Amino acid sequence: MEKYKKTVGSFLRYQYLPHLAAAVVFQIGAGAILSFRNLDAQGAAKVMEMYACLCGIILLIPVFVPESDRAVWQLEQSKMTPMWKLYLGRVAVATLLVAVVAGIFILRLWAGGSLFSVWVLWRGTFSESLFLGAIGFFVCAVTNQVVLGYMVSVAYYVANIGAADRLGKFGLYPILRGDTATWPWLLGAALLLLGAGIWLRERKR
Amino acid sequence: MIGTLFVKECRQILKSLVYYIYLVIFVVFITSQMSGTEWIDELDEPQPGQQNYGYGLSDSESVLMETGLEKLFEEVRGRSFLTYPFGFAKDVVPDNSELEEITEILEYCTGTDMMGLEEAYTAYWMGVEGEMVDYETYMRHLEGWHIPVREGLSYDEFLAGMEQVSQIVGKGSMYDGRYAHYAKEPLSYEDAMQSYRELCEKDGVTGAQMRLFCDYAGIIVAFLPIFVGVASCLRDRRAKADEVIYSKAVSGFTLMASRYAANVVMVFVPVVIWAFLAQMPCVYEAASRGIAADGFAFLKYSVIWLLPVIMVVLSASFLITEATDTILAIPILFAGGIASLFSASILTGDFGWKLIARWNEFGGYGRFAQEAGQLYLNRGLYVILAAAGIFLTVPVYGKKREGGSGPNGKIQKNRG
Amino acid sequence: MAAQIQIHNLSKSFGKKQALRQVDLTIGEGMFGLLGPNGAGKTTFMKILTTLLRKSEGEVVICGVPVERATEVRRMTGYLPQDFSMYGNMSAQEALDYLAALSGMSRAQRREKVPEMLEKVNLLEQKSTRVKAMSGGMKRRLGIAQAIIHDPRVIIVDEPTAGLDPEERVRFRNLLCEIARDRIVLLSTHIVGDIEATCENIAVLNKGEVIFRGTVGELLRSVEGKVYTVEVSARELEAVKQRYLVTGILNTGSTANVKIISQEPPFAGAKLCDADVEDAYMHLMHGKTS
Repeated sequence: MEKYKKTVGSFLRYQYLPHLAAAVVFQIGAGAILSFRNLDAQGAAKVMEMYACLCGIILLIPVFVPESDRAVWQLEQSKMTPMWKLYLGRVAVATLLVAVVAGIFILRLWAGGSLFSVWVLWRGTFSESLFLGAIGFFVCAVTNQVVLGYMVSVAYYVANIGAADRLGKFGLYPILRGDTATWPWLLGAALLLLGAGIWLRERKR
Repeated sequence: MIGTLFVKECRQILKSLVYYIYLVIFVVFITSQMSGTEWIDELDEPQPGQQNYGYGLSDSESVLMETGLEKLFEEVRGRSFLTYPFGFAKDVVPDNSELEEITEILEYCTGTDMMGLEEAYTAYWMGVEGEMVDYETYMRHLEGWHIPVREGLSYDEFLAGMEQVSQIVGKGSMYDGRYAHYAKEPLSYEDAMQSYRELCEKDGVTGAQMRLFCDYAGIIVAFLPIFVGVASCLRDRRAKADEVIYSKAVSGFTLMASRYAANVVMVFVPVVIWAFLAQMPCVYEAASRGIAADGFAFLKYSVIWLLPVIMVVLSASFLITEATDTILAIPILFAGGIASLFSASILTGDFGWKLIARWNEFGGYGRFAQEAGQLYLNRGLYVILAAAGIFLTVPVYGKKREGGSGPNGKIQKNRG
Repeated sequence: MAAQIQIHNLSKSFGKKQALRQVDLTIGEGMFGLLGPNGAGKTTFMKILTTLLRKSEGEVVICGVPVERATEVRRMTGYLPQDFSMYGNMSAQEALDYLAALSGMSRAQRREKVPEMLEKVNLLEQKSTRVKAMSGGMKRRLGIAQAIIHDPRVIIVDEPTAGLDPEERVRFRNLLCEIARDRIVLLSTHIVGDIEATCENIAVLNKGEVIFRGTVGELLRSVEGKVYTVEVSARELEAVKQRYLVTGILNTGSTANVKIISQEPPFAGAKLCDADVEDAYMHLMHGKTS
């Protein structure tokens, strides 16, 4: 257990810090461009589903940054500890952080006197964030190019702005569009993409 | 040398997975948005005695007052006012005293108290409830409801009221004139014919199609080239070829200019090709009706509307990536793109200085002609900014090359 | 003008760390070796000469051109960095052509020179091999090809044989010697054998300072009459290592044949033997004698 704590801690300290900082700026910066005060359910959903969900991209895609140098990747692969365990540890931390960021946004809305269902909005946003981040995570896992991971996630987000209706259960902003029941699909797809990404990456030895 | 390097950089881009993903996303997105054929109906000449000639923007004072007050009523009901203070869309929720003040202005202008307005609104919708069979019917009824305007209300009094609301709610609200973009009235046969003649003679038909194309393509090219640019700039470091390239005699200007030009061309060429393809059905339909289409509209609009966006996005991604040797350009420029996208209060015109210029409509040449001047200024500004960005990138690259102090000075020094 | 590099009072510091300290050297035509342990400042020195780092103090003039005139200097130098690589998806030919273009060669020149260089470094048959599929030796040969293709007056190679097998190493050294005619080849290495085989003149850097400059012969003479071989028992070996500067040990069961550098014969029965450059280098670095 100690070695996993060590590897995850090392990842957080040496590679993940800029991305954590970005998440903090993202959280603080929200106040400058969004209003959290006195929003109704639709208004709150817009804040969460169109803005807060981007934290998934910020926090999940950098999981493979340490191995973007092939030489480092191969060296780590040569060691006794299987890589999938390292990845899993990092993904667990990133997922926890996504949950926390979504939670902080919910708290800000609640503190602003907005009226909405806390549990429905939190779980919906968490699932959506994870899904959006998992798309880029999967692409990055398969191609080992972080830029591509960001690109595909961002493209998916932008495409959904006009075409979410056409994507069925996997369309973003579901609560904004009046659907509170798609979160299990998004969450399931996210977990599938995360698992598949790690599995395919391990197969690339 | 620039020519040689330009060709080589183009070849390198053709080997990049990021570039092919850009192509796929661009094509899929544009095809999905432009696949509709409703525009074909616009090519039929209006006939006298038609039931409906569509709607157009009105400059009639009575229509403007009605529109402004309807928007005000909608936002007072929702207790939330959409504003664009710095170009970002922000919902402003006034406190009770502010809302009361705004409601008083509404009641004064309509000559009815808020409760009365609500009752009238509810009664209207209950009256048409049985007819709500589809979205089109809903939209028709939405436009069918008209807020009462107080008899004797002068246009100046109305403007004063709007000004007061604008001050309470804050900068960039609907009430600093934006409501005028929603003031529509049914077109007469003469109006429809004028629109039709403008479409055929001045727009060459394809102009209308290309504005719609640029509306959609403008969104995609405000985002995707960020990744192409970042990947291009990080390529040397990723391949561990940066040192050997730094040691070469080629000037920083030549290298950056050729790389930048290659990126611009490679991103732009598919856009032009797709614009040409999107124009084809329009040319065909126009020809079948004996209308002479403007065959060069695809080029004119791509160059003026879209190329500056591509240039400035690539320029900014080059500058930030070369300065930081990280992917920082992605979140910064993504935020900029999203801000521009959400700053559009209407989807046709109001170009201002926005990066993403919207025109989500087939036609409207008359209005476009009025606003075209601002579009040209807007695009001119972005071309200048793009050039400035690349000129700034050259010394940044030069500093890195000589291991001097800069944002990455520390990293460069440690590499020694 | 004869090719010459003049370095006067060169210093380079990174914050508080002094990487180079008042280095004075004059490097003429032919092979010049720069020897020193890891961290001595060799790569920093190389990078200053190739304009990839700015010096803190001093003067560096390459064939009459001060190093501040970076473009001119780059035009007449060819550089092979320690960890040379190129875009993995390029073939050897494409990579060489690309780097030659960056060196200012015209299309006609490249058309002529690229195949010539590939043949010279024995890569003509592998011209279509992608860089990512190349062995270390092949990459290094590609590296030297790009460093010399534009016919520079000065070639700077940083640890070119590290990681190469003996055959590759010999081949590489021979190539460098060939191209050293009528130009300066500055070779930085911590592999003494490379220096011995190829360089007439050398300098030794340690902790940023030049602790020796001269010919290989002069370096060898500094340790003449001080290198002994002696047989010691396995039990005594540790004590010998503690007391003397040992540059070679050959274990033969219960005894060991040890090479020692010492002012005086260390033991009765110690035999004088011929010194090699490695012995001289060790003597210079450690200066530990009995």
